Amino acid sequence: MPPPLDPQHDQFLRLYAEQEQALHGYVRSMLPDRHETSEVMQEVIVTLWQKFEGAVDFRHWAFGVARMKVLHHLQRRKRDRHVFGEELIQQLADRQAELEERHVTQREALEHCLEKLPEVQRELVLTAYTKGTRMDDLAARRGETAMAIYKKLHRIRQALLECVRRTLAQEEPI
Amino acid sequence: MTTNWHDLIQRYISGTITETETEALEQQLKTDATLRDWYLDALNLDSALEAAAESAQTALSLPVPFSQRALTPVGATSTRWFAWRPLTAAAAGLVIGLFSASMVFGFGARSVEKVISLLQESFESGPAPLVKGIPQDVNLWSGDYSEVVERYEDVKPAQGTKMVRMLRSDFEGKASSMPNRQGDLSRVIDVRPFMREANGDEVVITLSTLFNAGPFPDSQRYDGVVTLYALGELGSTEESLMEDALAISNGSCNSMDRDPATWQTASTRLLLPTGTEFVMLKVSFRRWPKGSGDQPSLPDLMTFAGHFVDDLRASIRIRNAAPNHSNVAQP
Repeated sequence: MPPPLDPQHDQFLRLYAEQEQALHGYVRSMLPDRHETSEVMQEVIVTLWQKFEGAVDFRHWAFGVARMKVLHHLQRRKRDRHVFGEELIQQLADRQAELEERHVTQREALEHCLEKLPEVQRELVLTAYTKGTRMDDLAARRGETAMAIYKKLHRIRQALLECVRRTLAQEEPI
Repeated sequence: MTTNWHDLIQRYISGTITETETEALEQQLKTDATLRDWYLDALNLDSALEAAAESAQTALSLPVPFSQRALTPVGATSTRWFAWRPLTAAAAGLVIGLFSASMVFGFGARSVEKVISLLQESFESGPAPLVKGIPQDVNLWSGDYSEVVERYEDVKPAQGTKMVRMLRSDFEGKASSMPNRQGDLSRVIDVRPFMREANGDEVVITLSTLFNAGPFPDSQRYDGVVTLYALGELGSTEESLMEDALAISNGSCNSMDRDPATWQTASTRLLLPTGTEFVMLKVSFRRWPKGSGDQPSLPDLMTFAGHFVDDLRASIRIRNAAPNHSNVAQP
């Protein structure tokens, strides 16, 4: 049995776990690519742990670290991907902080909407989003072109987004 | 010609947008608040689909080769998340579990499986749960302060005549002075006979529980959470549990309603990694701030006015992959 974690470690894990979902949404609001979001989140958690000194306003501090990491990442990425400028990125990040509750309910509604999808579409979208899935491999396995898969996924995402919005609109009190 | 902004957003997310289109989309987003919300919703959907896909993989039923199935053992090294030192590996396990909460889907892969009921607990008989934190022996309930009650105000047991009422988020002699905003109840099960029977095949444990809460202030939010820990040996403490666990999964019913008449379900499942000898089942009430940014305003120790657990079910499934499965990688 390894030795017990030190109290600071445990405190950090608890604080981080409480904020992780919001922090992920915040980072994602500034980065269009989910894989890049994962990379930046890894950098964020390492920095947070290395510099963690206590619980005072952990959320504010963590979001500040995350913002700096994203901006630094975007500076590097500008060379090989079209990305928004800093002014719009800040607008989006600020708005994301206001939408946290809404996004939690959207994720809950998504479960219902995925169940309503035809099985073949559900299988396609979940396979496409599985870590390590390459779009050209997926297309080859299905005997389709990558572009055809992109278009199908685009339509499925649009349908899911509409379904989520419809579901939440129905749940709102009249 | 009108621009299809939604289409441009999708292409921006997928990285297939041109520089000119990016500039046009950026200008539009700066001035169109509705479109900014749409963009953020689309990103949220994208992240949620990734989490759903990960949960579906954990459900062991996606039609992909077994050799490519990424599972959730904390400390494994199959993905970048888990390739860190033990501290962040433990954090990553917790994080992914939370983010993927309650999204598990199955697609009926062809296989031979055996399902065994491990536990069906509605607290009708047996000793009351101990108030000693994590149980140090098998087949007993222990955790934070709780009591077994019959009907309590307007809340009736979901099953039988009794249920557990969580009282606080601490236990007798708890030494830690750290904030604790979660009331837990746990039980350890010896799974060695099942692991031996499986003899290297897949063993999955499933846990579901019903949660209820009486009316509580609008400013508060509670989740009911179920967690499974795969353990190599007994003796974990609150401090060491995250580090000791070979794998962790959890599920939750988020934002519990205030209706005493309704019970809400949370469930989760976990593939037991090689080396698992015990599994700890944990049910918890977790307090959250209602809005963002007010976490520090929560007290460090919770008392629960009327929060109940009942009808806890655990089963174990031993799955043997059918040898003629078309997607199984051939040796």
